[in-house]
Amino acid sequence: MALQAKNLEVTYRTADGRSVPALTDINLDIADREFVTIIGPSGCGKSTLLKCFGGLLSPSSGEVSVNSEAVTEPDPNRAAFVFQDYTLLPWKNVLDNAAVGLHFDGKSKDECRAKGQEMLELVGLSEFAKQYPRELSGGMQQRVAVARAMAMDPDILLMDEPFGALDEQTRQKLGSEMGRILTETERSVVMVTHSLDEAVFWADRIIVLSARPGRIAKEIEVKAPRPRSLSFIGTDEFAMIRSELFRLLEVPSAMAGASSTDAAAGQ
Amino acid sequence: MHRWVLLAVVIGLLVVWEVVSRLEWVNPMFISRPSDIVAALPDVFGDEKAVDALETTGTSIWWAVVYAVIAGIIGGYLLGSIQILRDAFFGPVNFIIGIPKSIFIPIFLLVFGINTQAAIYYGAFSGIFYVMINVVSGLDLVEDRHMMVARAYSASWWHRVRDIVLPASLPGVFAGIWYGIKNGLQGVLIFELFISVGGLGSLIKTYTNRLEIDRVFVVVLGVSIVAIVLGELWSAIERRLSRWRPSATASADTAT
Amino acid sequence: MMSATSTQVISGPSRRLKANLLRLVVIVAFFGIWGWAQGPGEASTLIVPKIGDVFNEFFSFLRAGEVYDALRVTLIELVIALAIGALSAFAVAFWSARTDLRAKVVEPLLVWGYLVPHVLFYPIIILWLGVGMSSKIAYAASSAFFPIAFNCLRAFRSVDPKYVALGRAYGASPRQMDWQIKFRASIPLAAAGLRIGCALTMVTVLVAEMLSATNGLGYLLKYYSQSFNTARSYAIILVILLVVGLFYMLISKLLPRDMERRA
Repeated sequence: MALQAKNLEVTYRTADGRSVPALTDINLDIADREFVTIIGPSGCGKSTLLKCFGGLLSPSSGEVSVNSEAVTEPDPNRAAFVFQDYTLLPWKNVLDNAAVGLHFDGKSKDECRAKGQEMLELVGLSEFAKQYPRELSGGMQQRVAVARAMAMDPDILLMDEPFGALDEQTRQKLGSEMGRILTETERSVVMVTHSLDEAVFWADRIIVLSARPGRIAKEIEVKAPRPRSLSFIGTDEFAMIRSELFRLLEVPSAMAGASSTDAAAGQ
Repeated sequence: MHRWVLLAVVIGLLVVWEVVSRLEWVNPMFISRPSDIVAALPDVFGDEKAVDALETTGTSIWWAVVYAVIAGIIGGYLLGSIQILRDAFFGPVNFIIGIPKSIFIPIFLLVFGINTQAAIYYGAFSGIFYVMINVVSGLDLVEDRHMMVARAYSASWWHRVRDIVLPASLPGVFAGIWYGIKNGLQGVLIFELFISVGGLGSLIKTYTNRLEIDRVFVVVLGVSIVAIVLGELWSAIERRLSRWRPSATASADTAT
Repeated sequence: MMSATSTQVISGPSRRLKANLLRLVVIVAFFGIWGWAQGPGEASTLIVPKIGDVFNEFFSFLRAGEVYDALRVTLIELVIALAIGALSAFAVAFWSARTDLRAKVVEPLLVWGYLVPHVLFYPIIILWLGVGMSSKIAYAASSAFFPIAFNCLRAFRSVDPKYVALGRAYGASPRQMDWQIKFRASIPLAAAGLRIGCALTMVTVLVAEMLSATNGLGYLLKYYSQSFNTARSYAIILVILLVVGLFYMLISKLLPRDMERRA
C-alpha cells in the first residue's frame, strides 16, 4: 500500500472561534503504481487533501501513512509536489530549479547538476538549462516543475491542478508529452484536477469529492489500460464515465444521492 | 537618439551659462563662469585644506553609510519578519522618516561633541530609517507560494532564508541602500554646514566667506557630478542583478 | 515546524493589543531612562535636561509670542516654497510629457537633480538672496521641484492606453482628452509625488533655517541650542514635532492615498 488515509478530518477555526470543516470522513487506499485523480466542486477541499497526503498540512484527526509510516511532515523523497502556478523560483535558472529539492537536501553541486540535467532531458528541456523561468512559456515552466518533483525519485507524485494555469491547447500538447513520463513511471500519482476530461483520461481511479465539507462521494474505476493515447477520449468508456462525472458535479442533487458505499463498485 | 539630445541640452546649458555670466547681467562676484570654474580646479586640488576636507567628508560619508546600511538591514529584517515588532513599530518608523532629522543635530552635538564622529553618527541616523523601511517592503515581496515550495521540499531554515527570503527581498534591500546612501551623504553634509567640524561643508563655508566663488562651484559641482555618476552606476548594477525579474524593475519606492 | 496545523486561529484584536502594549513599554522605558539619567545617572543637565524643565519651557514657550512669530515665518516659507515648487513642477512635467523625445530628455535631468545633494547649493543661494525668507523659499522650492516633477512626469506619461483609446473612441477633443481623461488618470501618481514634495519642503525649510536665518522655528532651535539653553531647545524640538505632525495630518487629509477613488 503506497498511501493510506484513515478517518481523515480537517477543520479550520475562524477568528470568532467557529469551526469550519473542510474535509471529513476520508478513507482512502492508494496502491503502488496507481494513478488516482481527485475531482470535486470548488472549495471541496481537494487541494487540502493533497496537502495532507504530502505532509504540508496536519489533519485535525485521523492519519495519513505512506508505506506504513505515518506522515507528519513533508518528505519529498516520499511524496513530491507539483503545484498549480508552477511556482518555480524566479531567481534561479531552470537547472537549479529542477534540482532545488536535492539542493535543499544538502546534496553536492555536482550531484544536483547531474540529476537536474537528467530530469530536464526527461521532460525535453535540456537546452533551456541556463534560462530563467520568466523566459519560458507556461507549459515549459510546468514541465520544469514536474522535473523538480521527479528529481526526488519519490514514491508518490502529488499534483495539484498541474495543468490548471494553462490554456486548452497547451494543456493537450503537454498532456501528450507528459503522458509518457507520467504513465511509465513506477510511482503512484495523485492528481487533483477540476477538468473532467483530465480526471478520466489519466486515472486508474477517480475520487469524487462532495462540496464542503468534502467527503468521498464516489469512486470510479477506469478500466482502460495505461498508457493511453488521445484516442481514448473518443471511446465509449470515456464518454460514459465523463457523463457520470458531469452528472455528479453539475447536477446538485446527484452528489447527495451518491455515497461512499457506492465506491469501489466500479460504476 | 534622445541621449544625444540630452547631451546637447547639457552642453547648451553650459554655453548659455558662460554667455550670461560674461554679459555680467548678474554681479560677477556672486556667480562664476564655467570657464573660470574649470580654471579653479587645480587651485582647489592644490589647496591642502581642500584635499583634507575631501578626505574627511569622504570617510565620514563612508562610515555613516556603512552603519546605516548594516544596522538598517538587520533592523529592517527583524522589523519585517517578527509580526509583533512590525505591528508595533512600523507606523512609528514611518513617522520618524517624515520628521526633519536636522532638528536632532543639537542633541548629537551635545552627546558626541563637535567632531567628525558626531557627523558620522548623524549621517547614519539620517539614513538608517530609509534602509529599514525599504527592507521591510522587500520582505513583503516574498511570496507565500515560494515559501510553500520550500516547505514541500523540506528546506531547512537556513535554506529558506538563503534561497527564498534573501533573493525575493533583494529589490527592497537595494532600494534601501540607495536611499540610505542618499540620505546619509546629505546628513553628513548638513552637519558639516551646520557646524565647523572640517570636511567639505566647512570648506564651502570658508570659500564662500572669502568670496572665492569659483572654488565654491568647483566643490559643489564636483560633489554633484560624483553623486550623479554613482547614482547611475547604482542603477546599472541594480538592472544587471534584476535580470530574472518578470516585471521591469519593480523597485520598492517607499520613501525619499 | 515543517507542516502547518489546520486548526489555525487568526486573532485580530489580540494582535493590536499586543502591539500597543509593546509601544507603551517602549515609551515608559524611554521616560524611565530619561528620569534615571537625570537622577541617579547624574548626567549633565546640559545634555539631559530634567523632564520637568523641558515641559515647563514647553508651556512657557507656548505662552510667549516668540514661537508664534517664528511659526508664522516657517509656515509662510513652507507654503510659498511648496506652491512655487509644485506649480513649476507640474508645468515642466506637463510640457515634457507631451512628446516622447521631451520626456526622455527631461526625465534623466530630473533624476540627476534629485540625486544631487541640494544642501550644497544653499550657501550660494544665501549669497544671492541673503539670509531672509527668500533664500529659504528658493532653496526649498528648488529641492522639492525635482521629485514632484519626476513623479508627475511619470504619472502623465503612464496613462493607461485603455483610457486614451476610450476617449478617442468617444470622439473626445484634444482638450477633453487632456483634462478629463489623462489628467484624472494621473492623479494618484501625481499625488504621491506631491506628498513627497511636501515632506521634502518641510525638511528643507527647517534645515535652511537652522543653517542660516534670522527667524523661523529652525532658527530658534539653533539659537537656543547654541546658547546652551538645553531645556528650551528640547522644548522647541517638541514644538517642531507637533507642527510636523499637524502638517502631515493636514496633508493626509488633502492628499489621501485613495485619491483616485475620490477624484
